[in-house]
Amino acid sequence: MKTIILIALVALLCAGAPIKEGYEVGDTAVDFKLKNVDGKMVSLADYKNAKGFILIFDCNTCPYSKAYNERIIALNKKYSAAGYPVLAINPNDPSKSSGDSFDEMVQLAKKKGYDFPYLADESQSVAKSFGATNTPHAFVLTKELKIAYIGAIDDNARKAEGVTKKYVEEAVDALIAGKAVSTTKTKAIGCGIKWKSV
Amino acid sequence: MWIITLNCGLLFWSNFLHLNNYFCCCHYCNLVDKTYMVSHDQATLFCDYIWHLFTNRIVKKLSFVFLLFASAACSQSVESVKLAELQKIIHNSTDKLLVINFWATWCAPCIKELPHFEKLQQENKNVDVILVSMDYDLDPNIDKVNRFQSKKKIQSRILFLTESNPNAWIEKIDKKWSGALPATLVINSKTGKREFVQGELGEGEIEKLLSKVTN
Repeated sequence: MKTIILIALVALLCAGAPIKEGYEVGDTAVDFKLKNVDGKMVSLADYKNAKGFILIFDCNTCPYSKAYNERIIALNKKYSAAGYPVLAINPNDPSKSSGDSFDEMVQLAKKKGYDFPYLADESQSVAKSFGATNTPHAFVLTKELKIAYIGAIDDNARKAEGVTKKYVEEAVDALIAGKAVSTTKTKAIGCGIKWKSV
Repeated sequence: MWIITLNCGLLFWSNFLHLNNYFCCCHYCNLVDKTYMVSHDQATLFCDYIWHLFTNRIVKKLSFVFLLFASAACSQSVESVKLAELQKIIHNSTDKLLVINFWATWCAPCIKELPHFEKLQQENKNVDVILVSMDYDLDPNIDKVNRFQSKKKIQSRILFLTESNPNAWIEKIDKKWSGALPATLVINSKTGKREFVQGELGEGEIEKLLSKVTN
């Protein structure tokens, strides 16, 4: 009888505990395997020589994603050679946003000449485990998949010329220099991820 | 605050000093019963015009013009605000429940849920709906929001928040907000209860939030 009460109590306690949604800075991420626009499956473990990663939850349709398109391409150009490649992940449910279907993703990657993976998070489980909410939503990771930065790419969505703080670049530069990242978390207005209906 | 009432050509107005806002209420033959926010200049212009007509005793003859002018003056109701003004509204004590929806003209799910807020504003007299446009971040021109408001004939009060660098103020609106749109904040200033939800709200979901802050 005592055991049953104990189990019931534990169950109650667990049910009452708040469920933590997504990673915080300092957490270690779990690797994933997602389909790229070239049809191949991609994992972070595939990058044997990477010193870290720039993960960006992004999509085809959001005006913010469109505003940041060229800046994301530039990030990969600047940092992939330094060992910090960009990986873009589209978590939007295509049934809620038809412009985010796999075929449309293939088209966009081709049109824009993406030289980094553009992955479909079909089950949305990667976006959920990272706690991504917006597009674009950037995560800078170390080689050990420790989260070093979460948030916006920079502080001016409207104009790249108007940017005063390049948050992602500053975080990656700090990692390269072996220093602590000064701004580890930022927030930005953006399109909410189109979640599947429960 | 100016409150202007039009009733089939008969007109009354009164001047209440309250905040710095100008309200214009139009009642046409009991068919339309709406409250519009207009800018200071529009309200002054409108009231001066009405006063001019009144004193010239041509009110009856020109009642039709009144109505046309009233519609024109009232259709431009999007107000530019800074964060401090928005925070004042959020923290203002009022007998009504505040429903503040953060949206943008480019945001499809926001536009999809708009009719729920409009319906709520029209049907529930205990609720004040405020639609806060976040368009400024991508396009600082208010015209797009003005056009959207007149095209969709939106009756709820619309604010256009003119602040850059969202990272500096998103948390001041609500700690739980990531900045993703749409988002909705429901406040009962009498009890201090508030509910914040990120994401599109379906039919009946605003009512659930309202009952959470009232019970």
